[in-house]
Amino acid sequence: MIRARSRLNTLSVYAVAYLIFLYAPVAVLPLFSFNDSQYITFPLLGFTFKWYAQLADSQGLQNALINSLKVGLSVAFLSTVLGIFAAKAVTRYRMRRSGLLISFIMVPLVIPEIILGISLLMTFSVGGIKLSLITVGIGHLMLCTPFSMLVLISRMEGFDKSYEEAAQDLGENAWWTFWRVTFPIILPGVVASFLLTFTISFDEFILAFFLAGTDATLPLHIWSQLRFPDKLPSVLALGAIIVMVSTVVIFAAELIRRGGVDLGNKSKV
Amino acid sequence: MSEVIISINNVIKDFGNVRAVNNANLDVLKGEFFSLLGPSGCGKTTLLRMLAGFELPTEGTIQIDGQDVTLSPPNIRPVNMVFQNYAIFPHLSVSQNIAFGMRKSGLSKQELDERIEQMLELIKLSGYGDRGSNELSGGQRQRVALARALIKQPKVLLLDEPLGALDKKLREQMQIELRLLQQQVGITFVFVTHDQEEALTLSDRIAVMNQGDIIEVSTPGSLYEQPQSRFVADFIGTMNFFDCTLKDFSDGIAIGEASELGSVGLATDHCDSWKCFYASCSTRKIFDFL
Repeated sequence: MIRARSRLNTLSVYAVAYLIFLYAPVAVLPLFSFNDSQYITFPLLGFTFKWYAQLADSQGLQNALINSLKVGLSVAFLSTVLGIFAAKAVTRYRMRRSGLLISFIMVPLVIPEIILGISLLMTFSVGGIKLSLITVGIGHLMLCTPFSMLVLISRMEGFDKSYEEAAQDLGENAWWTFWRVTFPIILPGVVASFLLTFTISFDEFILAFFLAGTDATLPLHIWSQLRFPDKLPSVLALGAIIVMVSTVVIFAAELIRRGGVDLGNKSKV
Repeated sequence: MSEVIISINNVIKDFGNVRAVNNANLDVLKGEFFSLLGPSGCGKTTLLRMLAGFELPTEGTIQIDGQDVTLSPPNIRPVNMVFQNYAIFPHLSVSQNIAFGMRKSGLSKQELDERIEQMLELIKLSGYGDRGSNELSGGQRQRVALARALIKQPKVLLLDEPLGALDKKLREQMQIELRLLQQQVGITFVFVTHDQEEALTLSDRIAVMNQGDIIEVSTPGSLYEQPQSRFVADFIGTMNFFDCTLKDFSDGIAIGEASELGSVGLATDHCDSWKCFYASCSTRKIFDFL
């Protein structure tokens, strides 16, 4: 009994320490974003909203935010659509060597982004394609599609293809079968994929650094602001907002992915 | 009753190098309760899926109600299926499941609601319309699957081991209900099962399959009393086999010598008091089988 309790205590201490390690650096962001000083030092001087107010005035920041939203939403949409196609192909058709094919598609997950960035940059310059938000989007699409596929394949594998057969049997063609049966059942996976890929694109720096033209995305804008010490607190404020929004989005994605329709068979993934 | 509704002609189905169905020829009559019976892997489910349109024959043709449907997609065939796991749509309620196939029926909302209510009554689930599919027991899911198919008024209802997932007691109860339902709606049923007793109890006729071949097609009584082959005799019911040598054959009576029994006489055109094999012409056949 006593042994078990002390063991539990050790584990709890470890768990708490780990959580502090994980979140303390992140907590520094909001802490200093409300501090009435442009220097990141203790003691804190006073409470202020002025760094947040400064954000609202920055034209460069607003442009960067809009650019990131454009790229993020387009990439999330396209990679999720591609993910649905791929997941359907992998799980529904009798394909030879589908395992090998999946491995190939997953390769961008393990190639270092800096290598991916250089190779894409070379490809675009050889092809005479001008760098812009579109080239950033293409890079992000490469990066995000494997994530979409992973999320959607696991959802597709979890439900029996007899649902789709039943829909066909009851008179629906492939198009209506997809919209009346497949899509509603995989919807949690679709939403999760959309939110996940949006977050990846929204936060992504290295590829954007290589592939952006004159239009900066939000991470690029933040990077450029770090050169000016007086801009640092408002970068912290921005960082605090991003952390909060990302956290909400990821939690929402996970909740939706776990929830939704109970598939009634196999374990939920 | 004697009109042919399904005609399967020389149908072969290969999956890669494996032949799942080997040259099947079969006629199913209108209004019949017809069973495909055989051990697992015998090709019965493949044959059923070819009737539904989920698999296309490698060779041969299939006609349903006079129409060649060999290559037709499932959604335009005049048949509906009850799946082994029922495939009740998890995101829809009981009523929505039953109404699923009626999108193009042209019925008004009110007419459709009446039809759904009739179906719920037929399957004895009145008042369950708003339930979610996860609130149903196995037997209830099976009935919803039946209603969802029957509301389409198919020419033929295909059932893929629909009682396999139920416990023994419920299974026996559902067998009776299924048979009554079939008589009530008058639709041809093609029923796949590996359960001999179930097939014998329910069917008007049974096709016994083994390793892709249709071994014998007959009524339950004749399959049980006068099986035409050793496989059928062994597969249906419990059977004693004796090795025996042919001694004499005349006037339709074969005399054999079995080591355990001594002399044995067999009438070749009917069965005597013990269950025996019926052979139509070849005297050798009797004893080969025996």
